[in-house]
Amino acid sequence: MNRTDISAKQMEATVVLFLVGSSLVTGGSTRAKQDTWFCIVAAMILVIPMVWVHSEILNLYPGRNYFENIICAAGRPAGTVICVLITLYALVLGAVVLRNFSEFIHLVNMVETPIIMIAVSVMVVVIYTLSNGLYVLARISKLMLLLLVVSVTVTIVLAYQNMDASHLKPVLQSRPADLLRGIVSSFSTPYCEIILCAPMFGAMSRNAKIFPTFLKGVFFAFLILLAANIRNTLVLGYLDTTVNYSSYEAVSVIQIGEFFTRVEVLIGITLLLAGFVKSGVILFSTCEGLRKAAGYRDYEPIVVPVGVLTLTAVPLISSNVSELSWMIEHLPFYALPVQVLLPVLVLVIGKGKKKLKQRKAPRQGQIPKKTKSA
Amino acid sequence: MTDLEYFMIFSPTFLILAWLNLRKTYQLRQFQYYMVQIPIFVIVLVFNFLIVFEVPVPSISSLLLKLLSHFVK
Repeated sequence: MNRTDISAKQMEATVVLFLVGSSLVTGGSTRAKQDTWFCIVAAMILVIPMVWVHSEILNLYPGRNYFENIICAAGRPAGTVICVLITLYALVLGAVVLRNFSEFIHLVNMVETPIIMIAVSVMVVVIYTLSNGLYVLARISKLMLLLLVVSVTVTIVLAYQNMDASHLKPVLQSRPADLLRGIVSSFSTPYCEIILCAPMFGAMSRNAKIFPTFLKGVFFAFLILLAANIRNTLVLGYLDTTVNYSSYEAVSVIQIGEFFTRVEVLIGITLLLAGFVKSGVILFSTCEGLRKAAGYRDYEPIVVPVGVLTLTAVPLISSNVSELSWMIEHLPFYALPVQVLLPVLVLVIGKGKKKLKQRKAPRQGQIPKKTKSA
Repeated sequence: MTDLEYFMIFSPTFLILAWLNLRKTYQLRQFQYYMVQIPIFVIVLVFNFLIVFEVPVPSISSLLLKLLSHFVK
């Protein structure tokens, strides 16, 4: 394994932090209200085939390069269009995540600090990290995951006295339309965002298998998100669906005696860590997509231009908080074709092409045998 | 925050990062990357001038709403 290769454990940690990212703070609550846990479970089951699809795309051709395999499978013109579409999606998502992240810090902790200042501070660190290679981000992730798990566990244990099991009732009594919308919402954000994790696997150690590593990461993220969502629902009840940052609100009620308060700082730290990794992974995928579409060898020289472009998109993403909430609520429906349709299409075409090639290959192999016997 | 304040925060960051990036590309003689770097830097600069001069730029979410409202109600 090279010094710059990413191990399976580091990749799992990066996938977990990417998926948990902003969803841990927003709580991932949906229109299904107290039945959101069901939507999260259903979305997890639905995302397993998508993990397989991305793993198969990575394994289509040697090299495990996601965007290169897309171009090989779909052909140069169509493949480039698909790469550009995924890159545009990554750029918009990157801006939404950075805006959401900066907005949270601005509203909760730093009211006087301009949003752009927070976004610039984060983006500069992300650019610096990625300029040194993706393995730096993966190594940081492994360390950060431990802090994240400790933070979630501590808040669940401390919030125990404020939990009310009746907040989960009535179980599965939401309208089917709301449940379905909740499932689609949970499926798209964050699970189907794994499309932006897939390009990272090109840097993973060749000995590690893609599908088990990918699935382990997604499953671990699911456990954390489910635990956080159930904690929020049990503590806040109906209020969980009305507040923007439900995890922050749920944890803010924790108080042990007169001296142990303000535990919500842990949630702020969690967002800082997970949001940083999420922004890094999205920036990497955007650069990789652009690199492949433009036909370059390295992604490092375009990290800065793409980073400042994302920063410019931060104020342009929405003119106010309500528009941002609308964007976050509706983005899943716009993103689904890129997240699901395109990868499935690429895999079907790629597998079909491979089978055709395999059928042609034996026929071509028989010709010299015949000539030899003749 | 006024748009001028925004520009005062963004522009030094942009200038430093752009200069460092372009200089490194020049030192490594990887001039082919200028084909992507320079246009993106120009786009970023144009958009930031539009923001500073308070030219109404439609937000990405409103554009998405207009473009895709036929598909999602």
